[in-house]
Amino acid sequence: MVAPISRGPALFASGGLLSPDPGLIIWTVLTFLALVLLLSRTAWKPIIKGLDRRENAIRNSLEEAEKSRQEALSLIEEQKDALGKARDEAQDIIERGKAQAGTMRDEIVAKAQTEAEQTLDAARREIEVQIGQAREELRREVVDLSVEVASKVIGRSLSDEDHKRMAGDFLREMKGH
Amino acid sequence: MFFASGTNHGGDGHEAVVQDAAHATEDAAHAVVEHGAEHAAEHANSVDPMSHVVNHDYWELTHSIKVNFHDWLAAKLPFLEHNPLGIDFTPTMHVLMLWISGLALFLILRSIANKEEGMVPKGRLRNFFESIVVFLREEVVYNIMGDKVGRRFLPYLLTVFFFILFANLLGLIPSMATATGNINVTATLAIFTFLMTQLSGMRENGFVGHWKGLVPPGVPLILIPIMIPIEIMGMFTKPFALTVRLFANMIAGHIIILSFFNLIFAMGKMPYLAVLPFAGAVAISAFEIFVAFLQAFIFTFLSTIFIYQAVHPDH
Repeated sequence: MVAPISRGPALFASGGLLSPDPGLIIWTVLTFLALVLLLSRTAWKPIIKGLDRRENAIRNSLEEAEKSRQEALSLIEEQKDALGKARDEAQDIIERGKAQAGTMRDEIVAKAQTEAEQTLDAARREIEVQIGQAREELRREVVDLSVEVASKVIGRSLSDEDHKRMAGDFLREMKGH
Repeated sequence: MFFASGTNHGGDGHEAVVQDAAHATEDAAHAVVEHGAEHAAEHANSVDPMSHVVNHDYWELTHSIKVNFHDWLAAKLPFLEHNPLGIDFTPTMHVLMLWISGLALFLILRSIANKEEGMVPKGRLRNFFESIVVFLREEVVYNIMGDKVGRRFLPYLLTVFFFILFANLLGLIPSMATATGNINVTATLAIFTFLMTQLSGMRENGFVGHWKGLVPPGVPLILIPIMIPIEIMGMFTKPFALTVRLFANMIAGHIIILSFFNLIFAMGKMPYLAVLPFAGAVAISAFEIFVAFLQAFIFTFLSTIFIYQAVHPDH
């Protein structure tokens, strides 16, 4: 037996797939309008404001972080510079100290040398003077002895003055040679 | 219609009209108990997918529990049905579904908007909704309209998206129905976008400027008589396409799922094979979740483009 097929109502009839339903249309309008108005005020506004605020906060934080990072970097750079400068200065001071010490040593040595030479010279001069004096004394001694010897040998008495004059002339002659 | 209903075969004497299709379903369900599986296979065929997707006066919680709030309200408030306008305002199931979606949307969004203003986003619900709002705002509305114009239409477009999304998803919950699978609802939403398009076009470019936008600049004079009717037709095609796309997509998925359900019962003689249509029903249901998001997105995306085209006709 072939069963009668239920086709349901036509598409546009009441209960059909495309049946117009003015009541439903008006309720859709009212529901949707109410929802748009209600949500615009009570939901979208605060939610979007919150999102904007968070977006700004994140952006600001990132910018701040970047700024801090740059600052830190420039600080490190500065510190490095300062450290380098200090090291250079220290090196400079050491070098200068070394140089100074060198010159000082040279000076001291030179001074000591001159002093030593001077002392030596003085000593030499003293020695020469002493030698001269000793020679003079020796010569005088020799004269006296010779006179004494001569007078004894000659037996002739000459006045002391004459003898001395004669001896002196003789000596001068000797010296002249 | 393709979907034959075997109601009369059941022998309960019901006339095979759609109002009775649900009863027939109920009877078929009883039949499962009364007459055993062999009979049930035949009767279960009468789960009519069409009756599932069309509007009803009652809320079918299960096959046996139907809340006929329509008749109850009509008795309490007779003016809803009998008024000078001649329109029956008594809420039907789809009206109820619209209200449930709207109320859920309102309550959820309020609870998110009222959260204390911490800078660190907290809570899964809040993150979920905020990420959608941010996506729609940045990638759809601001991307198409720019910040300045976009800011004005953002609340409308966000409401369109979430309202459609909630109505779509509500239909996937057992015992609920898909209001967006009703062409009256989708047509109304499309008309809202149409009105938004025309009104903001006129507001932005003046009445004359807006209608001058029908003919793109630089069109040869001889083409104008052809262009104007085409452009006017295009003006109405856009909302019509919006209407049909959403409506057809939403009922199509449900009809497929219902067809799979029918196949499950049709496997009466080979119960193991019922696994296949069951798996199909699960797969299509999962796909429907994606479609719910996709269709809400497409409706919003196209609305954004249509409105922006009216605001800046040269684009």
